Amino acid sequence: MKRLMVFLFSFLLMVIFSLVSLSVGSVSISIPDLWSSLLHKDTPFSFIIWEYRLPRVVISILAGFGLAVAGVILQSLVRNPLASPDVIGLTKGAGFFAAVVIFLFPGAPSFVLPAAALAGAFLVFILLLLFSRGFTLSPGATALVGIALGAIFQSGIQYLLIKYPTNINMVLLWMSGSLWGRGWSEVLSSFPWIIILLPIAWSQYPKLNIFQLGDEYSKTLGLDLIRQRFWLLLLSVSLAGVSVATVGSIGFIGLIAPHIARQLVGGRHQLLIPLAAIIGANVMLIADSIGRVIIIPREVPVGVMTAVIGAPYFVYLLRKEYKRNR
Amino acid sequence: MYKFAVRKQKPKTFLLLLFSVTLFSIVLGFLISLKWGQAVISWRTLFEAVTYQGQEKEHLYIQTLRMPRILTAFVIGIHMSLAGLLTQMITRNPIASPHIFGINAGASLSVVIGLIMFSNFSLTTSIYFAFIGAALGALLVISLAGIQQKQHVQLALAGIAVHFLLSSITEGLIIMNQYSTDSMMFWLVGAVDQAGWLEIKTILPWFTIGIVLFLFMLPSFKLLLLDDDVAVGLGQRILFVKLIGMLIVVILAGSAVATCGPISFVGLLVPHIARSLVGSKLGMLVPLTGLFGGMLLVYADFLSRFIAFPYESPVGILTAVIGGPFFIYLARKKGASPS
Repeated sequence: MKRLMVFLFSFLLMVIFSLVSLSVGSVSISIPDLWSSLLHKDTPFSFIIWEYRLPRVVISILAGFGLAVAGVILQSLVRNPLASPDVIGLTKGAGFFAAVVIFLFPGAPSFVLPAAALAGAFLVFILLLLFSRGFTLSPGATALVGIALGAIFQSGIQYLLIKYPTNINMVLLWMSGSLWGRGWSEVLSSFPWIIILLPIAWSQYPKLNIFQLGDEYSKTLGLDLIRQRFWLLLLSVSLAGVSVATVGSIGFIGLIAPHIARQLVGGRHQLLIPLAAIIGANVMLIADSIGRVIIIPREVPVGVMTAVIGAPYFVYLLRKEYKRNR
Repeated sequence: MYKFAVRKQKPKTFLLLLFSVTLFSIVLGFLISLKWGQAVISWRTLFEAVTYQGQEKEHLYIQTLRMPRILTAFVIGIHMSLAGLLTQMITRNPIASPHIFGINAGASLSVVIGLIMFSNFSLTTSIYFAFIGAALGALLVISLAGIQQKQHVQLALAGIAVHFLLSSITEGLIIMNQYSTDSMMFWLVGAVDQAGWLEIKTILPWFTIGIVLFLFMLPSFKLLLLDDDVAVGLGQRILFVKLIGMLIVVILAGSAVATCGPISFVGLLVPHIARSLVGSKLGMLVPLTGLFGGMLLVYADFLSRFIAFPYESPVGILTAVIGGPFFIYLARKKGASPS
């Protein structure tokens, strides 16, 4: 019963935050106006709503889903609550490829950038596979190699930034993750993937539940460890890769959302995955809304806002860990 | 748990040879860095400039640009590698370094905040800012992972998460504040090319304090190599020693970051190389680590001039390219052990 309430409440919050996100911004729209513009297409605000804000909200939700679920899977695989797509270098790999496109092929058509970012995420996956001993993807090695890969790609990005200082702001913007200028075409290109991948991720919950117990238990319970790890990591990489390709490398959603969800419903993945997804979407919506109103008419990139929101939660987390360690 | 390999005592001739080769390479590195770069200087002019005999343009170029720059690279290399060695000893964790410990990111964030908030932000104040930031970063990571923690993966994940948190806030500040984005980016990668005599003068007191403290505490640090229980049994106040150790790390790394930006991976790489050569005997390990660090950075700085010749590239890129693969090697070795 309590769990049902948690789900209902967080879903309600998502709806409320979507409405808030639709109404605030450099032009603020009152709720009645918002309602009539959503229903009829001929009010003065309907253009802003339908062409600018609605796609942003949809993308926020999709990216929040993708990143949060990717984080849940990774944390169970690495068996460490501090793992997340950005920590193991996925977002940096995607970012490096995006930077290459922005700098070296400035005239490329718009679909190339997300495709390149996706390719970067998969490259990191392949490298993780190659560098873990005998393709086993053992948890410790995956985490550490991922960190190293992230650092290498980071220096690659920095090299490009310094070599071509003219586009520096665009890359920095992409790097910290932004929803600025995202429209229906981005929704169309990411929506199918997320919608296909999410149910697949959810259907893996029995395996993820077993994974949490540790390698020995998993083996005893008849799990083909190495193969399952491969598929689950691939799933996580695809989810994170698609999200990052759409919105840029937004950090901390994949770290925070699974945490909050775990606090609320515990570690069983059949509940954890959907709740983490909803919470991820909520965090995205909040961060985007705040980022848009904090210094009108400019925007704070949503990735910076997630970091700022993430910081207090991090400190809270750390106090808890500290108490537990004692 | 990771144990530092106990090696046999190396013969004296080997050590003598090792140190003389190192010193020779350092001198050689100084010379080639002075001679080659954007402008090629003849040996004769070089000699005159170093002995302060000429007043030509080329002499001044050497005296005011290249000499302080190379000296800074050397000093920063010593700072970073000793800070790395000390973090590895304190946490007894082979993959610890100021970078992984959130120290670099914390220092950079607070320096960037200072640069944005105050218009007349001098280097001396930026060092104090860096100290505060470095200490906060280290504190965050320690409280997430625990200082007694023997789990490599936990420390690395906590450190890198804090690193990302702090650096994305830094990036956000830079995006929002569009003044001097380029120069700040350059600094954020870690570069010594802007360093002049002023930088040397500012960092020198901290260099002295750091090294003297380090040497003073050396006998106590020897006990960090033992298990905590054993050290306590021997009458050491282990927590106190670790705290002083962290203080030294913050002084060394913080002042280095304030001067030249967060140059990554030197602190991780160098102690390992030194340890593989002389073992974990501190009397040999500490000086060799320092010298190697200085040497590495002098050569890295020299090479970084040619990455995008005739433009300068920050030396931090080069150290990351060298250090990253080494980290992967370490990760493969250590990640196989139970996390």
